[in-house]
Amino acid sequence: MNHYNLSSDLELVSMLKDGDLTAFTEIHRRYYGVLYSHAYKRLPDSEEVKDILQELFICIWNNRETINIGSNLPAYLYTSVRNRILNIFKHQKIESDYITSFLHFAHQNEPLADEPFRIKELVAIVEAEVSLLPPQMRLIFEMSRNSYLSHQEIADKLNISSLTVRKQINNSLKILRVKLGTHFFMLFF
Amino acid sequence: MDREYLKDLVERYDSGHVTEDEKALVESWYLKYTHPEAEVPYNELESFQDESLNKLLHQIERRHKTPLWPRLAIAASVLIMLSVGIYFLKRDKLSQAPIEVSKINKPFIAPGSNKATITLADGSTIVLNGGKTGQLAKQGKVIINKTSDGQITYVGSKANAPVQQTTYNVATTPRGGQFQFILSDGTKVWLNAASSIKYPVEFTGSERRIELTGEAYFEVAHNAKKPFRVVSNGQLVEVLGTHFNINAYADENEVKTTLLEGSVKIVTGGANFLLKPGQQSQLKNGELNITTADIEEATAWKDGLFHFNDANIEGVMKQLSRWYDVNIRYEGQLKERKFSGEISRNVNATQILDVLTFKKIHYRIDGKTIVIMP
Repeated sequence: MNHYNLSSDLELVSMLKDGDLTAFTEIHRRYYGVLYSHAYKRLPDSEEVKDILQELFICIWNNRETINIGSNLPAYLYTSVRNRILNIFKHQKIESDYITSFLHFAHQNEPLADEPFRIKELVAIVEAEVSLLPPQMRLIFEMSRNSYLSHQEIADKLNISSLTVRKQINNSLKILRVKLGTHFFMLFF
Repeated sequence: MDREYLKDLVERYDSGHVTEDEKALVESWYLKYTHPEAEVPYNELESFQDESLNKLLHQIERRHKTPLWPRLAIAASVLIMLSVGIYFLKRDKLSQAPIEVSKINKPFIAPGSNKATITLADGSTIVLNGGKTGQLAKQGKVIINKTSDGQITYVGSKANAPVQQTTYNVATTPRGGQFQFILSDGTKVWLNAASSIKYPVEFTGSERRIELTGEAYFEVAHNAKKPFRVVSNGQLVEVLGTHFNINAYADENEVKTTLLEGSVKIVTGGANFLLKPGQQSQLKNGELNITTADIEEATAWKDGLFHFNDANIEGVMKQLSRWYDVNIRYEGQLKERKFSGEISRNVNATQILDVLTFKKIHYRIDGKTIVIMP
């Protein structure tokens, strides 16, 4: 059962297309934290951000067979959140501060013409925020980026003990198991 | 470029009616934009994530009544085909034998659920199971509420009513029931099946004393001035604020206290002992024994799991009997076997019993009794 948290994003996407709920759960577990923190910094309204993410994830599950996530899951997720945030800005009735920022930007900066480069930048910006997440979330994210690191290597990277790493991995597996209840029922009698 | 143009641009971006240059402008600005006053609530992120996943799984399960686990379903159907195959292979030999009715129409024993009863000071009772939320009762200054997620909370009203005599409530779970309470001091109590706690509606004195039978997990709200004391089956546990589990079922031959966080003092007839986190005390025939705890084993029930670690069949069946509200009877000579493993408490009893058959332990269901045989 362990293999989900060692799967690459690419494998998760392909399992998701086959209707694998655990793969979906793992994507959620991996990305919810970064997506929330990224969205909240642009739109500091917790309920609104939660709604955006809820809609995004349910949309991914419902359209799992048809959506084109491509080979870059984070880029898909981050641009989806970006578009949803811009959509909310569009509906803001009162004069909001984003326009001031935009005006300022438009007068002082040259846009980045190359789309792939903009996406690369977006990924870098979102993932720079990972370091601020709670340790467990950060751990899960870092592990997904470094699938085959040993516990010791992860521990060194995050500057925590390897016992903590093991404990946290066990904990998150346990939580997952409880959540999935009967479907995930594991025995080693 | 003015405000109006940029506003219009954001609107057009959303609908897709923008030139490549305009798209580049919006997206490049977005890369630089953060709200000046945003303070991400990092310490709540994990609970937001849990909440989100719960909602998603709930929504998904409701929509799909079909198996969510294609692989598992395939594995299961392969197994079924195999067994059907074996059945047909063996059928010729079996055709003479009478059909075992119990195997065909196997009763299904559903798992327990959230249910409990509260007996108020005046002897009246409130039955708790699903249904109504909001204020259930008011006693003196304290209001008993049921929250939408099914917890019972005791909330002291701010009104300056005169201090009354201490009134007690008793919360009881039946076999096949569990419940979660928040007492008036903020202490959280998870009550396992076939258990009860007696507690004052309001902790007015110099201590917070409650009585327990059966099993409960406590997250005691810290209050150094008022120690929290749990009296159960021959021992008293004294704490200031901490997380621990007490298993004091009358049909277990020992009272087990497991400490997760903080410190607790175990007081028995003769001795006192200060438990450290990760330790478990066992009180048996008046003697207190301290060991390193298997925390998961002690608290799995609260997380919706059975967890066994080298348990014997009686130990396993005692837990099943409380959760599935069944009696257990043993027939024949059973071999001594040990069981280790973890399984959800959401499954039907027969699903667990079927697993035991791999260990050469068989069963028969006789009304509300499970008969265990070799």
